[in-house]
Amino acid sequence: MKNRKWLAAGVAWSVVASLMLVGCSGNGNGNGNGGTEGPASSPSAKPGATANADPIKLTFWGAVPVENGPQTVVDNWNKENPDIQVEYVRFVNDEAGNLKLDTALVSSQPVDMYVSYDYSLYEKRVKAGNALDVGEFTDFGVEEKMGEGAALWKVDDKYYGVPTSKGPSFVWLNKDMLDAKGLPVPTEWGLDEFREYAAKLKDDNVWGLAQSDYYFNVPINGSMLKKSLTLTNPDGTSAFDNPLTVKTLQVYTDMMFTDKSLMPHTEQITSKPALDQMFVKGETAMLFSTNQVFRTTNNMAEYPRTFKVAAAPAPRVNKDQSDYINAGGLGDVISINPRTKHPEAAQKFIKWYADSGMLPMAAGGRVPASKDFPVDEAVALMFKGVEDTYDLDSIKRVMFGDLPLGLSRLDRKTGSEQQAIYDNVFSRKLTPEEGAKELARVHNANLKTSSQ
Amino acid sequence: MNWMKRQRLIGYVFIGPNLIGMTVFMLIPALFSFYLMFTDWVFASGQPPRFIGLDNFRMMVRDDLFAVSVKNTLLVLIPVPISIMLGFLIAVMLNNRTYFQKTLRAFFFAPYFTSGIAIAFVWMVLFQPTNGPINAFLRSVGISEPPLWFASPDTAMYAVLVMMTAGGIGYNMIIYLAALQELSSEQLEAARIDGATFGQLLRQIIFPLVSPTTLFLTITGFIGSIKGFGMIYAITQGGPANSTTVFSIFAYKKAFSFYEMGYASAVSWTMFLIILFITLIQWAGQKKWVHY
Amino acid sequence: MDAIKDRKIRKVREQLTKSFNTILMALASLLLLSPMIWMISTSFKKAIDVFTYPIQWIPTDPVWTNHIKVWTTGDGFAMFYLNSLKISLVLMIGAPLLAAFAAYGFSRIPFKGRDAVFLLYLCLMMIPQQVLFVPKFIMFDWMNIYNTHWALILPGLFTVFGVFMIRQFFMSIPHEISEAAFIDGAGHFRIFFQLFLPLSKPVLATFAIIDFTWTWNDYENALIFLLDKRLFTVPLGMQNFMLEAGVDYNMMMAAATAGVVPLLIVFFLGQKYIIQGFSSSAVKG
Repeated sequence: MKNRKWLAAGVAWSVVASLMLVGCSGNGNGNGNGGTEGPASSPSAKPGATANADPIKLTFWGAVPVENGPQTVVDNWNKENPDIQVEYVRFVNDEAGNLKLDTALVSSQPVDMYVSYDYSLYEKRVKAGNALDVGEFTDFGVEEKMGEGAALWKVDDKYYGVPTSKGPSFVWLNKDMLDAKGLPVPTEWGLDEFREYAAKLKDDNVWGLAQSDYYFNVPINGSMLKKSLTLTNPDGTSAFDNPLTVKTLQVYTDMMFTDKSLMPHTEQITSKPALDQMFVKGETAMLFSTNQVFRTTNNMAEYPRTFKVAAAPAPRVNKDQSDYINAGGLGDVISINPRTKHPEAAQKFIKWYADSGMLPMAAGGRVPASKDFPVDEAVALMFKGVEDTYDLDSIKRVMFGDLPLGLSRLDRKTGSEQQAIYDNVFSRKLTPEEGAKELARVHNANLKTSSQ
Repeated sequence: MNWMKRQRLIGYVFIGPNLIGMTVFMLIPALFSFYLMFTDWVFASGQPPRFIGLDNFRMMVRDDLFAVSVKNTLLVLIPVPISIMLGFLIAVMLNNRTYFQKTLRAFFFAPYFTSGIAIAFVWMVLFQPTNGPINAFLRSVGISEPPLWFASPDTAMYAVLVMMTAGGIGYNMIIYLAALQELSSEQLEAARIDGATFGQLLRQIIFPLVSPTTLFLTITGFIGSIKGFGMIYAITQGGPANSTTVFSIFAYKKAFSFYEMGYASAVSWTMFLIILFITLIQWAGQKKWVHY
Repeated sequence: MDAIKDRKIRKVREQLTKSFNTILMALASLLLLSPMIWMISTSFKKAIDVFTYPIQWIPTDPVWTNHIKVWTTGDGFAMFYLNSLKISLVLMIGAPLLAAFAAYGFSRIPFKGRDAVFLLYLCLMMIPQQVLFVPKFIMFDWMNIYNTHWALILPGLFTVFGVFMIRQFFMSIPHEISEAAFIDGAGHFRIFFQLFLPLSKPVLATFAIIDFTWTWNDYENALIFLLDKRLFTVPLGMQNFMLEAGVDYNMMMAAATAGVVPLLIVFFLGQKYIIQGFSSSAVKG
């Protein structure tokens, strides 16, 4: 009796004990290759590869979905480099996805290379010591390759990542609708002209304009960028409270509620329409967004359309504004995790990626930034088979023109807190004047905390 | 070894495995976060935690999000009793008062299986201000300016409350349905012979019978309602203009967007206290109406 | 004569009421059912038809391509499916057993400190999860179980909810039953294994089903604690359809529809246990 009793208890306890033990020794071997878990699909050893039996393995984290280019990129590389096998891991570029990446970066698990898409997160990773100084690699001058625009990604005067793509945010136009109203494709414009176009293009079941969430901060921030990347005045206070901000808020309010040419902002963020699809379906005449829309406009099989696509630069606040900086520039910054065991191999991959390897990404609208890159080839790939459905002149003018480009270094927290103010302005709870003051207020509050 | 000690030993042998697991996987992380709320620790910043006493709480009460979180956390208590009541009524209906009971039960329970993204999407569409069916209906009955629901800071929270009410019905229904199986046919027959109306039957027999279940549902319902945020976050991210921010979204933003783990811990433990308070009130009040 | 007529009238009236109730309930259930209908119908839509107003509940031009694509492209949905099955099945068996063991201790062995410990358990249930991810991550990394399935399985084995639910059930089992066994010379272990476990099959099954559903749908733990694609679960696989500029709804719903199948199987297999299980556990608070 007694024996059986203790046997029973022993069973239950040993479940726990053994699980703990197994757990603790769980991934002792095979770090990064899935531990001992899961049906291990063996890393694709290429036939004919004369390489040594144990190739270097690198993981490369990016936010572009696997099918939209990255898989082809790493397949190409792995074929050419049997001794360095790269695996692409996709993370979603949202809060939870970035937390996942940052968690992985400080763990004992290998993340060898990763892409940052936003300055504030990039800077955070650099400051936390999670990115190698790429200046240490002698055969690769970031500025020499990518041009001066790369300077945006300097932290304490050093590069901790290689920006690989470039491109502005711009306005996509349904050229057929413009033609029908006798409107020319604009080459430069301000918000007044922008509003006029939207009002004229608006029709039954057709919005004059749609734009990505919170894109009204593009003209607002673009007007301050020349002053400082952090959008401050020379005295270090927030520059948000200025007449151009007020005007922008006013024009957008009018478009939403007077002209009804733009879907009210709060309605958009809470019903989350697919803007790229609205555009190709002809539900909006203009779309203020990024080059990611190419993925949709190029896909005639899934998104058939009959109209021609043209492009116009992002509107300034005032047409004659001389110190306006367009949102855009170099981005997709690849950094190397200092914990990697193979920094040289990672460096080799990044160099290849930036110089020629990222070509398959072009189909999704990512324009390579390196001067050594065969740009014509990228452009050809981008419009392959669908050239006729674009007004290529205007597209090239906007995408490869010489517009002054830049990105702000506004901290994430301010950016996020300002969203609530934009919501209030575009629910008409705050006037544009009050809105501008509020934008400056939260910015100043964060400037104050961060300077402490 | 005396009897008391022996009982205690055997007791701990039984709860031991679970207790160890809970200690390792819940209590220790919880204690760690308890400690963090007195620090300014930012995750993945390369800086160690620095003790700052109660500063996080001072910051919290001054935060714009705090007042709205308190208000909304009180509001999200409303759907709990409503959805329990509806779940109860449906359970009574689906307990021998309709045809196709099994199918209908599965229908009501369907949200439990459905992808959260699909549920969020359908609610977004239902409440869509210009094209959505709810406003189309309101306009057809002559309301020319129907509410904007999720799209307005004034009404977003109401749409959230409607959504939460509907969200809990299926679960409450299935649990009540189970409790109703205890209802014997003799009791029903006796009530009928007495000529009791349906209302009397509900009040005098069914309510007391299911009262322990009701307590169970209110306690876990309030906890779930205050802690839950997935559906709200999927639709509004706490907006527009923070109008649908509840404590859990407040904490999520601090922890996930800004990695301010110290601050997020302070917010979370404040929320914990609120839940604890509400649970204790219910626990104390149960003697008045729960019949075992 | 009259009596027969009366009974007939009553029967007709009953049938009418019942039919009316059925229609009423069916209509009410549609609201709750609509997301699932939308999920399935969208999984058969072309991308361009997803956002049409009013909603197309039945796709005008249904396609199978989404379902085929889910299984054939990307990182291997089948592998995610197997991983999810593995984790969910392990927990579906392990968690109820461990919970039952503890529940017996909390309900049937009076000893000093027991209720205090149980109160602590209930408090643990109230702690919001979002702040625990980072502390857990640090611990898992130190324990060497970060980026392994153990990071989901080990914590999943220990649930407050399960202990609470099964404890309520054990408390409702009449004391006479165990006293009789004591007199026969049985100890607590024998009573637990030979008497209580068989008796509590329904509640164990109920909890097992609920636990399966939780684990199957768990997104956040899997997101934070799994890095290697080969370890990913179904909810992580669905991220593939979160594009840079929005959600690929038709693909995601095809994946979600595939993901519902095991839940439905488990639900229908265990439906009768759900009814019995809950009824027994919830009655005696």
